[in-house]
Amino acid sequence: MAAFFAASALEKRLKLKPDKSLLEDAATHSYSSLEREEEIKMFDVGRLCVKLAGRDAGQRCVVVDKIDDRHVLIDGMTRRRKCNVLHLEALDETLKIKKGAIHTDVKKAFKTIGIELVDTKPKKAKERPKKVRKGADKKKKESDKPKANPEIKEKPKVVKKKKSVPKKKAVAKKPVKKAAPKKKK
Amino acid sequence: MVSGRHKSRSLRRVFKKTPGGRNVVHYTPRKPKVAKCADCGDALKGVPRARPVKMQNMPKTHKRPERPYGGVLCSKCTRKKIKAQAR
Ligand SMILES: [Zn+2]
Repeated sequence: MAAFFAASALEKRLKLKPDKSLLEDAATHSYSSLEREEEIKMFDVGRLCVKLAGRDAGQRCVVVDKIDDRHVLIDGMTRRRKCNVLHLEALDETLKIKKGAIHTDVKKAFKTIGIELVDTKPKKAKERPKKVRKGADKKKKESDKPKANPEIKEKPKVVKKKKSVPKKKAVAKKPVKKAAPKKKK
Repeated sequence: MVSGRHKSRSLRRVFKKTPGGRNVVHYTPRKPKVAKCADCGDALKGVPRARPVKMQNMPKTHKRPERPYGGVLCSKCTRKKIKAQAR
């Protein structure tokens, strides 16, 4: 960003206005149907372009396929995707590729101009230690206890001593004990 | 009656309706100005107008468009710029 500001400041100093006005004319130019056809012809398979819009803006790409009169399939430094012709700026160069070429072929074609495409590998999700909820554990243990209770009454007492449980737990267990003997009767 | 420190216009007045049905005035700090394109001076889209504290807590992708010169130039000016670089 800082570099850009410096550049724009330079432009202002040098007063490079004529270039800008030319560009503005091109941007606001309305197309006749003939011109439109000519422009579409420009984007044949193998045409090297620069992408103007979106997050891939400023990256070079090749036309791989024509989808309709307005859209083309592009690949290269950008992602492989459908693209409107208005979002592309055609360059002088062309690459030798077949219509609908795969990414590996495009990669080879780009090597001939001296550009190596770097493929980003999809990231693998890291294995995270599973968090076990404390509350969920307690509930399970409590649900197990009443089954064991009717057989041997002494066991739950032993468990209590080991844990040294706070008051809340002790309150929770008492009603369970009372419930178990009632069933026996 | 407005208390003395609130007579100054440095704080924004926001009218709120309370759940009880009353209308209350809240005094909040003013928002910063809209972000402008460095080249043509148009207002930038996709750049929120929030106080620095809120901007700090926002993720980067919420604060500017995800393209070269995003948050500095408007989309028209970026296209012109990239075209000029390509030619
Ligand atoms: Zn602009």
